[in-house]
Amino acid sequence: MNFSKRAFLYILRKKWITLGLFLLNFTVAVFLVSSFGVLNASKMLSKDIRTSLGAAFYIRAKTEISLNGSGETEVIKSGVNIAQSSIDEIMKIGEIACYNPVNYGFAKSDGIRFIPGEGHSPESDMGAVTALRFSALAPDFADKTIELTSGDHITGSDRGKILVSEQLASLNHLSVGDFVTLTHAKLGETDGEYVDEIPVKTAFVKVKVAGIYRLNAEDTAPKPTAGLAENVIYASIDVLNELKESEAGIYTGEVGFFIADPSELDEIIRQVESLKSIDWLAHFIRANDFQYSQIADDMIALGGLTKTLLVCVSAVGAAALVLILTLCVRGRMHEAGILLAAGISKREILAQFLLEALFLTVLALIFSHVVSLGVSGLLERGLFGETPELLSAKALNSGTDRGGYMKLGGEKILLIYLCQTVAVAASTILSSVAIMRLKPKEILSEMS
Amino acid sequence: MSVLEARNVSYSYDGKREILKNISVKFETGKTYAILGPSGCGKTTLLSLLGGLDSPTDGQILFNGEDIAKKGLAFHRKNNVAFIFQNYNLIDYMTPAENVALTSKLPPLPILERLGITKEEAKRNVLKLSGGQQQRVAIARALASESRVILADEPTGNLDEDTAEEIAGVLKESAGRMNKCVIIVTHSGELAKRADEVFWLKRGGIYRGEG
Repeated sequence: MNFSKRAFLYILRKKWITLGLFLLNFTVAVFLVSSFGVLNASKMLSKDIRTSLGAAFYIRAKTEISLNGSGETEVIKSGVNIAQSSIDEIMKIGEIACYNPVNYGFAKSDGIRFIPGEGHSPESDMGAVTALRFSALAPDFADKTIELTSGDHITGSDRGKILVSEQLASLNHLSVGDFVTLTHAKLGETDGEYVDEIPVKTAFVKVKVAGIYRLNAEDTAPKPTAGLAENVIYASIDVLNELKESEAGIYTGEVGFFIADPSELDEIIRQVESLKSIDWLAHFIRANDFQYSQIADDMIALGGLTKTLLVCVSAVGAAALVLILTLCVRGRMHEAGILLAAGISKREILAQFLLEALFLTVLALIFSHVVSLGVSGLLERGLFGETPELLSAKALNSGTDRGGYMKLGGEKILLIYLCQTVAVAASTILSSVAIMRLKPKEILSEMS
Repeated sequence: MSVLEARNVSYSYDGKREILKNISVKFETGKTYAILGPSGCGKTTLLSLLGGLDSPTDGQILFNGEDIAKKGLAFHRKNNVAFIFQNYNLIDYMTPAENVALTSKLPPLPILERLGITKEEAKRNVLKLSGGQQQRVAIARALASESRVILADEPTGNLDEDTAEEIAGVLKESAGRMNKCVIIVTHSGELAKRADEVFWLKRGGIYRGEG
């Protein structure tokens, strides 16, 4: 009788031991896959939260405050001057989701009357223009000072699009989809009067109203027409270029960089500050990861706790499996003695024990795989089902894929199964070897 | 010519206590031998050496004139000898038929039936048989193997008097019919009476007695 037939008979006839070993393997496999699933989920969720919070850093102009000769304070602000080539260099560092350069200017239009401000005149009938790539990332939109009520935000690929305030839209009967023509302007002051320093108009651009926003904060301070928040036009970055108020590829407002993972912010900034293409005497970096800083410690602690739990579960499961397998094999010394006395070689006896253990392990892994999918689904719904809807800088472009936190990749599952199979094989071999090292007579002596 | 021979065999545990001292004894096919002696005199040790379960400290065990160590003890156990133990030593998850098939390629039922095990009993779990029946299965396993020598260690030690008598008869009759050499280690004088030759083991030496 060969070893495979003996193994088959053992599995078939020793029902309780077979069932016990099957259930043990099954339980350990389900525990391991579920535990690694939870670890995976905690990592993914942590990343999702970090991504949702996001972080940003801004390159801004340095401002110096000094006293002039007459003893008055004087604010000296060096202009931002960042070239597209510097931005391209920065974008190669780390995982930066997007950048948002800003240019500032003014615009007039025959089709738009602006909300009158202090010292309003036909000459000063103009609005401030904030040209950028992503209007949603403008600080006022991000902190909900203003809110888009209809239409869409301006995004990186948009050309010739603007957002106007509800007040400005209402005054000029503008709706989303309407077109207006803008021309260049520059607010100046002559003899106490606000004037347009560009009296002769040579640059025009036809733009489409892409969205209308609402002002959530009221500012009653007296300001010229171009200084009123209601008159601010958010425009795609090309608009001021067309109006010759900015140069393509050169950014004179601030430049914001948005990164998906706040934990990488410090390293990215460190690398950006080492770039020589930016004049750091005139510029500085301001980091913004306030929300992340608030929860970072909790997230790290949670991650550590999950890992500790996983290590404990894996260790206890593996130890139980190895211990019980060892006891099972040691309990078969009598059988090994009989087989040895019958002239069956040690190698064949080991092969029989190994075949039985591996057969039960593989069978358990197949069943556990099906059950693990269900358990993972239940755990995911139970643990992560109520995660709030999150918004991220990344989501502005492509949206965030959520769910499937506990789903492990095929390679990881195979690795877990392989480790379990190797542990079973190793403990079977080691405990068998302990028996096989004895002489047949010694085994038979221990039997009687 | 002897089929199995112990030549100048000595055996000691850890090189200190010498159990067997320069023993020489020959066994022939078709005969039944009984080895008698007090407890601890080395009967089972001698049987283990003859069966290749252990190696002598000194001397040789020869099968058909060849040292069994040459081809290996596992080879000797597999091809030349079969064991019958006091406690039967059957594999508990096998039926009697499967236990017999463990060491034999012959169909197990005829030999089991010849030893008084019915077809139904041959398909039951071996542990559900009585002690006598289990020992019959163990004898059937030894007889069914192609081994020319059967080594029996107190084969009737766990059986009542009547069953022991019956088993001893079955063993001698079957082995004789199959021209096997049977070597029985026993305390039982009754069993020894059935042997063709009797050896006494005393103080490390072996002495021929009366059959």
